[in-house]
Amino acid sequence: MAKHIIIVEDDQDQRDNYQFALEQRGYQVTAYAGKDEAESGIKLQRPDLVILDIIMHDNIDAGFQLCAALLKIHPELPVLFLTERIGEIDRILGLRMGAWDYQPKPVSLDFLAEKVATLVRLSDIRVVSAETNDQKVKDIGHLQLLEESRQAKWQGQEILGLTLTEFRMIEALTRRPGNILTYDTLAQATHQHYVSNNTISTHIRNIKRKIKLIDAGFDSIKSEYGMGYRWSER
Amino acid sequence: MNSSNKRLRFRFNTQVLVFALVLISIPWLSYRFVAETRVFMIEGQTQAQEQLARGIVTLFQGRDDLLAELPYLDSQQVVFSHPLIGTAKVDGYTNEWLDYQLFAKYFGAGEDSEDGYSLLLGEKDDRIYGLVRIQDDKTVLRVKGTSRLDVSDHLRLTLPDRNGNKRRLVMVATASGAMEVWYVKDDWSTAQYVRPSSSFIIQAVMRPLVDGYLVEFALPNYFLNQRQEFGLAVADVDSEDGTMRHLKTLVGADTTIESHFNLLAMRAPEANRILSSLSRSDSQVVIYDNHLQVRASVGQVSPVTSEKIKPQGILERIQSWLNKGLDWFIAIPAYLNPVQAASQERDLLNRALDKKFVSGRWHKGPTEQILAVAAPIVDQEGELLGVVLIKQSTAQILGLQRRAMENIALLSFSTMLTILLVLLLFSWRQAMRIRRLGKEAQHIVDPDGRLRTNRLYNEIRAGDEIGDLARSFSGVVARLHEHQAFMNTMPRTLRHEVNNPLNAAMTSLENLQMHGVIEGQQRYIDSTQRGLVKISGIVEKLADAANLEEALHEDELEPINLYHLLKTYVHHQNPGTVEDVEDVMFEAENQAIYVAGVDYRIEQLLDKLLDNARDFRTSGSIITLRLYQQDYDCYLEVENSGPTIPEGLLAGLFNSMVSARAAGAGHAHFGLGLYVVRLISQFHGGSVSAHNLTRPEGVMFRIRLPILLV
Repeated sequence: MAKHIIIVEDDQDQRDNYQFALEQRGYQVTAYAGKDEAESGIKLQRPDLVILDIIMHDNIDAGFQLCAALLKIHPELPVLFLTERIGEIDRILGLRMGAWDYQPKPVSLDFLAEKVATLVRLSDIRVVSAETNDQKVKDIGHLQLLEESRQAKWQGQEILGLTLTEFRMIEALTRRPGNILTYDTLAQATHQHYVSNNTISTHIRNIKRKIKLIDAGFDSIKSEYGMGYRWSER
Repeated sequence: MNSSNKRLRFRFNTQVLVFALVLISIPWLSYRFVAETRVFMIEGQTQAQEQLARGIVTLFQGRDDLLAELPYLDSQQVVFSHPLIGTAKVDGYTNEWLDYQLFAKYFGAGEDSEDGYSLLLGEKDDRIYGLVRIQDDKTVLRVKGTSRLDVSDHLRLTLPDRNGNKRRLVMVATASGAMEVWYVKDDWSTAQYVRPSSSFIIQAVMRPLVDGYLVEFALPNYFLNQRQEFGLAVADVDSEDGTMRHLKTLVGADTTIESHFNLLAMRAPEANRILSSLSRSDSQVVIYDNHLQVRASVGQVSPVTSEKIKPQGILERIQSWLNKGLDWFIAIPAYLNPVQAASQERDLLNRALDKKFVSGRWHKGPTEQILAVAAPIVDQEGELLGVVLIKQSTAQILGLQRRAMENIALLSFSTMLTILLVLLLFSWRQAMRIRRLGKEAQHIVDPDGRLRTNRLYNEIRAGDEIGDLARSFSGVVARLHEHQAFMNTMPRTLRHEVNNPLNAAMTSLENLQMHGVIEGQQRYIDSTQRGLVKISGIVEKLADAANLEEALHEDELEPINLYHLLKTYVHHQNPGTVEDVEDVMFEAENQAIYVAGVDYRIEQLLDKLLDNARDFRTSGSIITLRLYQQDYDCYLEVENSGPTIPEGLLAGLFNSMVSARAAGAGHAHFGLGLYVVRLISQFHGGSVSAHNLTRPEGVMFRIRLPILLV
């Protein structure tokens, strides 16, 4: 049975493009142009994933408000923000509200489809894993990567609030520990068309910050100034 | 240099002071007015005097009986009495006699003789006053208790009473000051009574002089008989045994004063009576006979002036100071001394004796002038009978002038002071308001030239022009702030507005590819996608720069070894190339320098500086990155050879959207790179500056960062 994806986007062109691309990839897609109609529709039937724009029409926080309302009804509902609001504050706010990921525009449809697939799979896996606790784990020193559920653990503790982009970055860094990953290589993990070095550095800073909540002495990610980053075993 | 800087600048208070100085012209103009009035009044006074003189002359015309009333006896010396003016005091001083010193009669061998004496007689308030100046090389005083009265220097006065009896009085001094007055017997040496006469009736005072001594005395009018006869002799005793050396009488050679009484010529009663009707408080009318002896007089020249009272209160003191200043201001610079004044008067009288109608004017004191008119009195045959002299002081006019001046001075002073204070207060307040407004205007902009607020708070409610100015300025600030807010949000707005259609276009292209494209069209789709990615990059750069300040607040400072960071950074800038040519050269001592910072922000800063240096360097030249420490700061310099920065651009080079590049020069540039460098430097507590180099020509950017003291 096809997974049901709901898209809430006020711009018709984008809405149609997302819908077409996802339907082409076998998803059942329902698209809404506004917050209120989307809220009514989702109340009737729980979808497998919701893709939300934040600014809709004149309401600059419509996406946040809708997210809060939906998670109240369906707390485990995977929500992906797809927005042009990419400020650090917005990103943090969205994730704290319970969104699963935060994707800035403009986005590649391939990347979007991949992210949607990942999130849907994650949703399924987390339900199953919670029951069976059986999935493939990759160990790199103190780090454990649960590849299917896209979760990571440091010293056995789950790294909380890790976004998919950040998981992908850690995954890329640990693929060949000790080797330098250039900014360009790391940019691919962001699923964005244009990524500045500063955006990469901001993601790395956030990863470090989240791991340091578990281990204050964490310093496995080394800066290779002027080039990129390197994973270094302790 | 701007020409306006050379212009003379007067502060507000200075302008007010200059204006206040103009106020000084008010009392000056008032003084000129009062001075002119004084001249006019004095002229009027002179004319009135002349009219009075003519009237008196008419009255006395042909009245030789009035002026020849007194029988003159050849055998008797006549001594004329003068009307004393003001307070007559028997004190041994000559204040009241000053006007008559030229009329003193000299007796003895001659005026300069060592044993002569002079006599002046005067009358006032039914008393006869005498001033005797005796020249004596040795003054012998009476020893108290001595029975004989003629063994010391003394004055002998003989006064025949109305019955023909003679009263003999001896005035003798025991010391300087009050003299004893004794009634004596015929021998002039034995006192008639036990005690001397009461000083209430007859007063006499002796005062030693350098060349002798002076005696001033006073006795009642009724001591004289009808003929007003008296005899006066000065007994000079020099010998040790008390024998009299010489007796000087009014008639020089005769020592028996009883047989040669002198006559005291008093004023003619009838003439006085006529004149009394013309008595005026501020003028003196004197009738002289043709021997220039006073026969009648009324009035006095100078009004009696009250003694000056010492100022008590502050206001009185201020008034006193003002008056002193005024005295200096209106004082007549040169005035005659009493002797010179008397000479002037004598001269006037002599001319009148020549039957001329004359007038004169002379200064008596620093604030007083005497106006005098002398007119001859003649009988019906045209023979000169006497002279009428009218003297009047301008003291009253000058007094009036002085009072007016005092009032003007006080009024002007207080008015000027008040106006000055009010003006100073006003100007101070206005200056304060303007200064406060200026201060607020200065603080409204931060060091980077951005507005801190959207309005002014000072003077906004004031209703005057400064209030208008403040409101206008506040309006301008509000508009500028709106513009600034717009400029601040513009990149975000731009990103929002651009990203949506950009996303629509990009996703449309992807869907188009999914539908399948005709062969040969794919390259156009690729080209469009590349263009869209480039647009996306531009928008991101703008938004990143706009959000940088906000984003920096999220960063946490931690110790960074700047030497290691730079060395690594430069190492990665110079990958091993085939030609093995360095792109960036790092100059630093091999020594760790720690700063509190955010490594990827410093990396971002270096990216911007190196991008900039690469864009402007001379082709093929090496960029130098230098690090050194000086005191508590470290300096990071990025230097490239190439064209210098125009001087006009140096100051604003680190502002947002400022670029030295020509439009359309290669890649898209928005003048944000150096702005980012400045923000990051400031975030680290440092600063950035740009310097043009001359040998070789190039540019150097210097970042100063405070080092972390461990």
